[in-house]
Amino acid sequence: MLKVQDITKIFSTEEVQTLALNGVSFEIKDGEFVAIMGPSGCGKSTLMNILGLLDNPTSGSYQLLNQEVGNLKEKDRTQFRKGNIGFIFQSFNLIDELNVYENVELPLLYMKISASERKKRVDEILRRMNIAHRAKHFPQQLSGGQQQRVAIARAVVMNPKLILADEPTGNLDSKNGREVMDLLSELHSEGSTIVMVTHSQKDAARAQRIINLFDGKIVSDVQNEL
Amino acid sequence: MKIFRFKNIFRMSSLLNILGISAAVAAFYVLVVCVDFDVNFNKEIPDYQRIYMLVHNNGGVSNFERRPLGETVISDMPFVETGGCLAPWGSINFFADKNGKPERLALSNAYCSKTLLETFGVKILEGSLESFSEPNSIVVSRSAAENFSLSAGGTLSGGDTLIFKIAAVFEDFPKNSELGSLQVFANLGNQSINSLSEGSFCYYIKAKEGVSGVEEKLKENSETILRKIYAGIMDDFDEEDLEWFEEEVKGYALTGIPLDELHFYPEIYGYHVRADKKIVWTLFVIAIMTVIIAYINYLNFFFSQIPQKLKAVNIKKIYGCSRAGLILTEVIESVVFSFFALGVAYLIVRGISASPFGAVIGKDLALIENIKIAVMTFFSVTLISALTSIYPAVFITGVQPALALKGTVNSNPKSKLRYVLIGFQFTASVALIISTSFIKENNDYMLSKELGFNKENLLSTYTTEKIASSRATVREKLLQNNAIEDIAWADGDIIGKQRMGWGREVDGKYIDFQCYPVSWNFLRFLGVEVPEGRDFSENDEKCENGVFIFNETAKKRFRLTLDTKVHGHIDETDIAGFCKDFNYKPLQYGIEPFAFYVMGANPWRAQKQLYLRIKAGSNLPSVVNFVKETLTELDPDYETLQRDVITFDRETAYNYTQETNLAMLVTLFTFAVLLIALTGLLGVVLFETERRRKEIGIRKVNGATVKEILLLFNKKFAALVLISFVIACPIAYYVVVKYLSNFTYHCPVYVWVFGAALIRALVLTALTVTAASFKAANENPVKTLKTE
Repeated sequence: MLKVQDITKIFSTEEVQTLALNGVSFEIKDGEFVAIMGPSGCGKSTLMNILGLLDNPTSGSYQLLNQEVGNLKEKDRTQFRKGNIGFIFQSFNLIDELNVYENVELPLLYMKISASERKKRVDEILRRMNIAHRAKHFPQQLSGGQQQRVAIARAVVMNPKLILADEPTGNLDSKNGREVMDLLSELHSEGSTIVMVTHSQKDAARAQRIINLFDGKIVSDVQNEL
Repeated sequence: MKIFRFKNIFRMSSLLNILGISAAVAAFYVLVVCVDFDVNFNKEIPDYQRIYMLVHNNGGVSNFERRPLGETVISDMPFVETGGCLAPWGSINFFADKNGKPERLALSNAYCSKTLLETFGVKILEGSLESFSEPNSIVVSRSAAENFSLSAGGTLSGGDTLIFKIAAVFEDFPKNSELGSLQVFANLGNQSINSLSEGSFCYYIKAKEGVSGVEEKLKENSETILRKIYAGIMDDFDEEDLEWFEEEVKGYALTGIPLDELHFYPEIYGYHVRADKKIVWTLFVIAIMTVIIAYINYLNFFFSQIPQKLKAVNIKKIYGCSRAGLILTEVIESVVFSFFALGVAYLIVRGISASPFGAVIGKDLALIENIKIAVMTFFSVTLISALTSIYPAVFITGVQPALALKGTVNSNPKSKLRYVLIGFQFTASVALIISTSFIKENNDYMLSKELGFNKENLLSTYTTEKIASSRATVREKLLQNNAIEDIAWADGDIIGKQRMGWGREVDGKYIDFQCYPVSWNFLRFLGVEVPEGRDFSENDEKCENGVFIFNETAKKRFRLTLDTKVHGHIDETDIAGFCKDFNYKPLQYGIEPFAFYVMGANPWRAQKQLYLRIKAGSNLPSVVNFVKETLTELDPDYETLQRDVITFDRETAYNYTQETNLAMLVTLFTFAVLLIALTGLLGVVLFETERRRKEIGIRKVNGATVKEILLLFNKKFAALVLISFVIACPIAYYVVVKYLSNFTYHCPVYVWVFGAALIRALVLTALTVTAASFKAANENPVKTLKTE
């Protein structure tokens, strides 16, 4: 699915340079469920941004779906992301002005999928996420757990090859957090490739493999015994 | 604590806002100066409410009277205190000696009676008005005396041996008054005092104090006055004459136009371009609207600042700052802001003064000359700025600090109102674009319309008596230049609002027409067809009494035939033919009865207006120089008098000065309103993109391209433009139809102008929205979606 080799990421300001990632290399195979862990500031989110084609590495190679994508321009990254990568954020990142249905429909719109096909797919995913009865509601009318289920629905509605989840349970209570993790496990069992950043050992325990980062370097990369 | 944060002024949005307010204030000031000039025209003349101009009906309104009539009104009417006469047609060329050569002095002047100056409350600074009664005496204005070192008791040359004695120096009349542009008045004396045929004088009367209904009183006394002035010659009338006289009495109506209304009668001859009251007040409404539109931006600007200000203001509250103190801070900030805007507006006004717009506006825009308007503008802007800031200030300071700091307050109030306000701006802008386009289209139409004669490659120049009296020589010399095809002579411009009006008795009926004395070849020169009868011939210039060619309108209205005899300038004479109707007046006016007249062997005066037809593609500057040199050779005064050779387009354009000025003014305002609306739009989009940064990030993460994000913003504002267009169209249509109705001949209400206005508005909006949202659309979503 993806392969990163010796990637670095340096953030520069006028006064200082910060090395966020320092020679990170790993490979993730199709259908894997990988958790990335580490303390705050270790480079987890930076790595996720690079994996999600939201940012380019300063150096090194990133191959996604057998294609070198580490040096793509913004326009090409956008094109590559479409339909291939689904994002789940800690703070849900739903658009307040759009209702549940419209939020989930959003990536399909940008993929230029026909209206009837969009409706079919959105209805189906909302049913699956058990949120269909809230289709006309706006994000602010939903609980945190419901909002994250909408965000997951949006992430998977276009059947992405890779799902990136950045602290998906970080803003949820334990019950809702468990439900979200159940959904991710279910998606994984159906064949989805998932990369998840988390602080939670409990959530990480659901993954097949755990990569630990510290000061921008991989300090451990271990298979998890489920 | 610093009351005012100086750096706020230099933020991008603040700069845009200052620019918008400044443009509006500058435009407001310029328009109010113009409106004030027109609305208060003649109102600085002492007792202006009691002064009237005498006019009578003449297929419209005519202010040219016969002297016996004017003098009778002044002497016989019990409600008249005094009055005077102005002869606006006789301009004198004054000269000064410069190195032994006469140099023409640029002094605008007219002949008038002493009582006219008294009627207008002239203020004598030096000398006495008493000696103004003497022949060849003049009075000069203070400004003229200062410019040319003149003084009472001195003299001024009128050319050759003519010497004028300066009786007095008077304080200049207010610029916006009937006599405001005249610097020298020459004594009219008793010229034509008893003539019943010379109707070329303007009369102004002053009513006695407390008298009302002067216009009605004049109407009621029309018959008495006419009978009085004809009393001396009626004994010689035969039956037919008496019949004609009774007809004239029946159809004649004398009245007066109050001095403060006179400026709004475009057909009344004067030394200023007259104004249209409807247009003046429309411009005033536009001026007010411009300021409202600018303050809509101002209000939007404050609303957009609420999210940023909310936290800071409430921290200050927590640390003990009173609510009143905080509101005061906001108000002071706004007032200081307005001072900056006023400063920039001042610079814009100075820029307008120095630009071609300044010349077209033709009013002195200096603050010192318009101190009342400047002070009013200053205080109004300051007050509005203070008031506008109060609502947002009250809102910000009224929030519970705990809620404000937690961020649970809706810090984006009135967002729908903001779009309504922007829509209002768009509506005004689109309506103005449409209206301006039509004013321009109509001007172009007027200048290019077929007038019924050949106006291509036509030049004209106003010559001198000496040149005009040597027609054969002039022709011979000018036609030596191969570029000149033909020449012809006339008594004044072909196109004019006013020309000589002749009232004649024909077959016992009174007829009234405009008479245009010309050289015998004038009609063939112009290409005016004569379908009935014959064209003028060279022999007509040798006949004793002159010959007429009337237009079709005159023929139909007065039932004239080729056998009809009409009194010329000496006696009854023939009608040679009837020509096709053509436009001899500006296109605001229709075609009325008109006659070409060849004066025969005994003309009153030489026809000084020389027309030249040149070959297509000729080198214009070279021909112009040749004509000037040739005419100067024939009479050096031609050069001394600084005569010019102009194209027909330029000659015609003079008749549309008011329309051209209006077009320039409205263009200026459209530009100001557009600038304000677009800066407002820019501000709103900047605010909107800032508020929706996170949404943009989410959309981009989910596959939206930069183009799609830009489209997202553009679609919203394009919809607003479309709605505004739908509202603006009927408003603009109403205004345009009203404006065009002032013209007998006008351009059609083109649909494409509406379409073009929509396209312009859409393109400008798209450019503005794209420019404002481009940065946000290109931002990396990583930055906006960062979790704290």
